[in-house]
Amino acid sequence: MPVKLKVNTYMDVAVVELREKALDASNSENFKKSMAETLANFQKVIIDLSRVEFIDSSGCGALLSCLRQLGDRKGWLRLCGVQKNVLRLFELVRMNRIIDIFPTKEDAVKNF
Amino acid sequence: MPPTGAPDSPDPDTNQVRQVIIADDDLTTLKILERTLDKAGFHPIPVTSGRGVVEQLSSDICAVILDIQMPEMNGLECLSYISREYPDLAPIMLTASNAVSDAVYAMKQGAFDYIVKPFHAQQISALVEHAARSFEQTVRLRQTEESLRQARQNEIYVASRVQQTLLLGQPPADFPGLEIAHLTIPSQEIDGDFYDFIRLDSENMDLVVADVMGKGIRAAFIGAALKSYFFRVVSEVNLSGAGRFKIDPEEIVDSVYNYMISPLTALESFVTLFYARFCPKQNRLTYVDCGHVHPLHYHYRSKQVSLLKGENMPLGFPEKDPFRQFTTTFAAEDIFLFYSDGLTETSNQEGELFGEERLIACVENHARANPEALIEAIKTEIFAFSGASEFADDFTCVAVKVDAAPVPKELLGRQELVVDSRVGELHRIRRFVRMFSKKYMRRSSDAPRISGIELAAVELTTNIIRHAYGNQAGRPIRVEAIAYPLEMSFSFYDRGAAFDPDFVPAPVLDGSREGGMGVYIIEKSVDEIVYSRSLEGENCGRLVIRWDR
Repeated sequence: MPVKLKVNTYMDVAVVELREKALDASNSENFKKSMAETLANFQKVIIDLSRVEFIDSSGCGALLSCLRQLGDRKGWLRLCGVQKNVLRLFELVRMNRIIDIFPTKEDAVKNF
Repeated sequence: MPPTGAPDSPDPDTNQVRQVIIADDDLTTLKILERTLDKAGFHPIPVTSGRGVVEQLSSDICAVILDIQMPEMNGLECLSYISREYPDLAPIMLTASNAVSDAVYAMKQGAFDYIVKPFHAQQISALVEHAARSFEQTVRLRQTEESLRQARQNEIYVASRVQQTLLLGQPPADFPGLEIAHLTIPSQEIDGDFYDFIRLDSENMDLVVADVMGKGIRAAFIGAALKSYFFRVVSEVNLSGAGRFKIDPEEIVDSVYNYMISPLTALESFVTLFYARFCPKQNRLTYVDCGHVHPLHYHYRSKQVSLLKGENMPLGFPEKDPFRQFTTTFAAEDIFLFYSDGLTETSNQEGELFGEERLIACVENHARANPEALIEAIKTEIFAFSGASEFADDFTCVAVKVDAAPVPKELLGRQELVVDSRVGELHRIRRFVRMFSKKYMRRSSDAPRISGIELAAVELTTNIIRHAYGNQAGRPIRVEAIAYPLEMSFSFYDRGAAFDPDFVPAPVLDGSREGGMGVYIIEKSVDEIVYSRSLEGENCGRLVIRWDR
């Protein structure tokens, strides 16, 4: 299933809005593919998850993959707009300690 | 006066020739000492150094004369060796007239006496005689103490065997409606603590806990006698009755009292006891309390602890009121804790008592545990509190927990969904689980749990697609949802490869791994996950969610 993304740039920061209700085993591989271009061209990437109601372990794995690709190129990944249910999963698998999470896009862009 | 009889005159008490080590590096002095002691009936063993003394020492030596100035371990070093290794033996020190301070020091270190050179032969033999007698007395005293200690040990052993085998009963293994655990920690001395369980019929179980005043064999025997009377009274009634149990606890205690009062009076002893009858079918406890420590009743619903109190005096007290029984009710998951005062009267290093409040707090903190675990927790806490590994009093403890009310298994709803083994079907699984959960959840505050159920369902389905079916599409995954009033389950059936959850490695949660979290997430998101495989090769993963009452 193709994944709908919208990428905006603010100076050297790419903000990727994930326009999907879910990020799970059904679309996480496509999500990784869709992210490839942005990850190759930017060092500072923010993924806006405010439309995402559901993430599973595959979704977490895809986000960790983005983090690692950026890390390999001395870049940074930030998340924003994480819904409560999704945050609960991030806490369960300790993603909240590995990726910086901000309440809003503006907070994430600030001082990046 | 020293004995001056024949050479080698034996010790009058033991008939043994008494050996004395004499140590001096001056050979003339050594010769004089040897001759003098030989004449006085001792068997002198001459040595010329401290080292020589150490070599000759044995338990047969009854006195030692040590010159302070000697090569190879001087007299003072030798003295400290003897005080350490042969504490009953106190050497006599020999010193030159200009070294009195050494002699004084030696006295402080445990020497028997000292002699300043030059000395008179008579003076020496008198002193050695004195030292030898003192040594022999010390040894005899020690032996007497040892045999007394052994006798006491033996008594404790006998009493503790009586207690373990006769006094402490075993709870019925499977009394319907109750779960029972018990514990005894014996002390250095034996109490007459006892408890036992009498299974009257399938609906009534009696528990008697008692504490006989005093310690040792006497208390243990009184306890044994008392216990046998309880069984006698109960069995007499059973035999005479029409097979149906009728006698009340107050009548039982009264009959036992009548049997026991004269022996108790004669032995000047008394007994505190608590007799309780559990009737789980009617949620009722009937009891008689004769001055025993008050058992605790933890009420599961209100999370409060109350004490079970009666009004009778201990058996053996002069006053006797009619025995009176009380009745209380209990509810599912209530806990009763019966114990002896040894438990609450355990003190710590500061002399502070463990006390009822700490015990209550302990019960409250472990009220959800089974009785076995509760008692283990109490034991751990008592040991931690006292800092001791042995106790002055025995303590005994019986915990009775009322079974949880059976979950009503009235079926509220059942629904089924079959999807294809493709990740594209995951959204259907989620919707199915969400709709069903919303319909049958207990209250609106349960809503946040639904996202956990959805998550577990997606993880489980993904595992089936990837691992059971090896990413092969076109295979069926059947989901069956069932709702009961307090429980909901989702069973996922597939016909793919078997799965053994025991072989799933622990998840790595440091961000280094992108996968391997699924099974962990499932476990954390529902109350229970059960994997099974039928003989026909159908796998089932069952997610269970339980709602709070």
